[in-house]
Amino acid sequence: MPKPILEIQNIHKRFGQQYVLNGINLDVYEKEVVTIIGSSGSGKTTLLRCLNLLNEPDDGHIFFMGSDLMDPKTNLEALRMHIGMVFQSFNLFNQKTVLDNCILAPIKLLKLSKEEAIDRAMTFLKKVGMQDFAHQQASRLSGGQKQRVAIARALCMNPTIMLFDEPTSALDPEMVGEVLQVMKNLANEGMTMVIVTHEMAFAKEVSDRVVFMDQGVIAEMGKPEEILVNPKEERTRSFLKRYTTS
Amino acid sequence: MKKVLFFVVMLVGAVALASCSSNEQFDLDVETEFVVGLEAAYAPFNWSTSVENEFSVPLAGQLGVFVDGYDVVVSSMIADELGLDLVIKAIDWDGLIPALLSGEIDMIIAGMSPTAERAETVAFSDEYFRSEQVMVVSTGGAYAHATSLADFNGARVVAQLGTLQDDLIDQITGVNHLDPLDTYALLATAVAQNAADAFIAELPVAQGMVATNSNLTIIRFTGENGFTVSDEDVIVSVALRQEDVNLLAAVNEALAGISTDTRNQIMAEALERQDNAS
Amino acid sequence: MMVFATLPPKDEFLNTIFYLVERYSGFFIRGVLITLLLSVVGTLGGFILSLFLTLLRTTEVDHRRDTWLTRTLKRLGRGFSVTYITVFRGTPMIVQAMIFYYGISPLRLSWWTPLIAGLVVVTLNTTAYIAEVIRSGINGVDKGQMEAARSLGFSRREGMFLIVLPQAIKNSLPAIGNEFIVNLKDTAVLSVIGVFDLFRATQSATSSNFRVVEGFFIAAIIYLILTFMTSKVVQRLDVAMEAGKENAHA
Repeated sequence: MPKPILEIQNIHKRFGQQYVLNGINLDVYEKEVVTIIGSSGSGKTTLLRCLNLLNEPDDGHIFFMGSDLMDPKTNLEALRMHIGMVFQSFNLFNQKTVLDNCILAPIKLLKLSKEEAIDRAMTFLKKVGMQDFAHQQASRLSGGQKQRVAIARALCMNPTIMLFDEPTSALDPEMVGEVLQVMKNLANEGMTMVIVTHEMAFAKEVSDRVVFMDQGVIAEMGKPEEILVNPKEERTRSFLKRYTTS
Repeated sequence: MKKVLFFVVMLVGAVALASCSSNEQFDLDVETEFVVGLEAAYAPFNWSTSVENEFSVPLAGQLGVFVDGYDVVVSSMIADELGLDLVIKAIDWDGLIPALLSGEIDMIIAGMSPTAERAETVAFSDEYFRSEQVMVVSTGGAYAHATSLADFNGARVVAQLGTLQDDLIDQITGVNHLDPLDTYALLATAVAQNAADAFIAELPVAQGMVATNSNLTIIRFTGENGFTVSDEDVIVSVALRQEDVNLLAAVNEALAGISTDTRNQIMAEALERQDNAS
Repeated sequence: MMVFATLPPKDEFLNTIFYLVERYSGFFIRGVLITLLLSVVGTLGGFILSLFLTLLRTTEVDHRRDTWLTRTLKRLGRGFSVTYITVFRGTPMIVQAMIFYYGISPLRLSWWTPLIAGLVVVTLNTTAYIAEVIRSGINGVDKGQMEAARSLGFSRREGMFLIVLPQAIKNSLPAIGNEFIVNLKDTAVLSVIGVFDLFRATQSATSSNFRVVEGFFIAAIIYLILTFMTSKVVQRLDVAMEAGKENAHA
């Protein structure tokens, strides 16, 4: 069994007096696609944001590429360059063009030359189907277009792992498909991905593993067929009932 | 023997004191210029003008701004006598003495009266102009024909902040003593706009004002009808730092050379040059 | 050739105004230039200094990773910034001018003139006001912008400089423009320390003819022209900002 890329060991997180993460243990292996599902308040978004330490757990360990993110001595910024994140509200740099969004970090952080960065950006923009919009101001795009650019922007850093925080929840229904397609392609190319989503059909199709969270713990975890079709836990079942698609 | 000893001690003491003070005081032999401070807003003693003439002096640090007036002419005469260059700075009335004490200026020649209170912190030269205190009222007003202080019973009278004129107001029985104002221009406006009935000023200043504002009239008092004033209330002197003993002596010597007739003539000419109404 | 050779009589308001404008045009022009100088330097200088102040104010202490020294320095920086802003916003500029000018005068520095003192005071004063403007500008930038920057690997400082601050400044421009207009008028108080601004120029122009109302009427007109022209420019800025915001939500 190869060593996992990401080892989450017994992390807890409190907001005020409330425990949002109550002892989470999870390993993520290379090329794996892990989907996290659960109701709001289950802690799934908090968990995802802990993986690149946007939220800081109160205790526990998160080992990534051999370093513990929780260790004060770890260079967080350097590690974050290997973790790509896609947000529910896209968070594109609105005043910049699509291209500028993608080349900013590679130039400043990876020290690429402008030509190299543009080359790389165009490659990834092509991959998400947004190459024709390279010189458009980011704020002018539709939701689906913005999200695809956000994915390209994260990919331009050549990350080892990509995190997706409900990437389609803020999109109008007709745009969800184009984003999911990009994500499917990524998965097929072997990118390691951790996705928080409500799109059950997508999760079933693309995941290697599904994690169901409830009240700050992992209630159930396993292959998509097991969890999504025939869950063991009662609470998993009642959660899924709300998402029954015909 | 005792007498000799006493004399020697005194001599040593005097030399020590003299050398002490001459280390600090304005050294006439070394300095090439002296700085005069005035308001530049107290015609006909001192005012600002943009037009250069044979009497005006440029204002330090301000291009294109000149000062003119009785004080400016006297300053120039003193400069000639002392053989020093003249520098004039414009400073608000309340800031004049602090500026003198801090060394920013060396003399105040600003139509300032040598009151006992001021004499506690600064030294004053002999007088360089003597006049009388009068009141200025509105030409068409109730007090235009007043002849004595008693006539101003119940009147609203005002003066400039920090001047002896403000103290003189209380000599009027039953007066309504208004809060003092910052400048003479404001006093004139107050009376012209009926915010006050009268203000107190020195005669030349009043003459200057009336020349430019026909709606103002001077009330002069004869004999016992006017203010009870001491000498220091009707003369103006040059103010210097108390340690500048030598400079004071030199200034007094220069002033002694300006006769009373000359002084009156200078004042009359200054009144002419002031921005007069047609 | 002057229209009026001598001062018109007291009851001729308009003629007096023409006379004053003509005879003392040098004073008024000089006064306007100094007022403009004070306002421009004050607003520009205040803007630059306020950036430093705001950055001090918004540094966050990383309880886990900062050394004791870093944490203390950050806290001191924050404390200084808050105190500075409170003091300079909480006292009138005229009081600040008195303290600075007369406080430093005794040092007998040859370059400490009323004008230099005035420039320093208006700059320090404006800094405090613009710092607050920029701080709310920063708070107005969506938190997601910083999160995206940090998730790419930028430090908090890089994220601030590259992404958040430019947006915050852009959003603050109309308010900064307003600060300039405020300065045009408020620098009049610097006349008390002897700065030859428009207010003092007017005082000087009326110092021997005592036509105070007419003189300051002229000053009022000039101030009005200055503020009106600047307001127009700020209005244009406002419109451009609004248009930009609308695009963002397309």
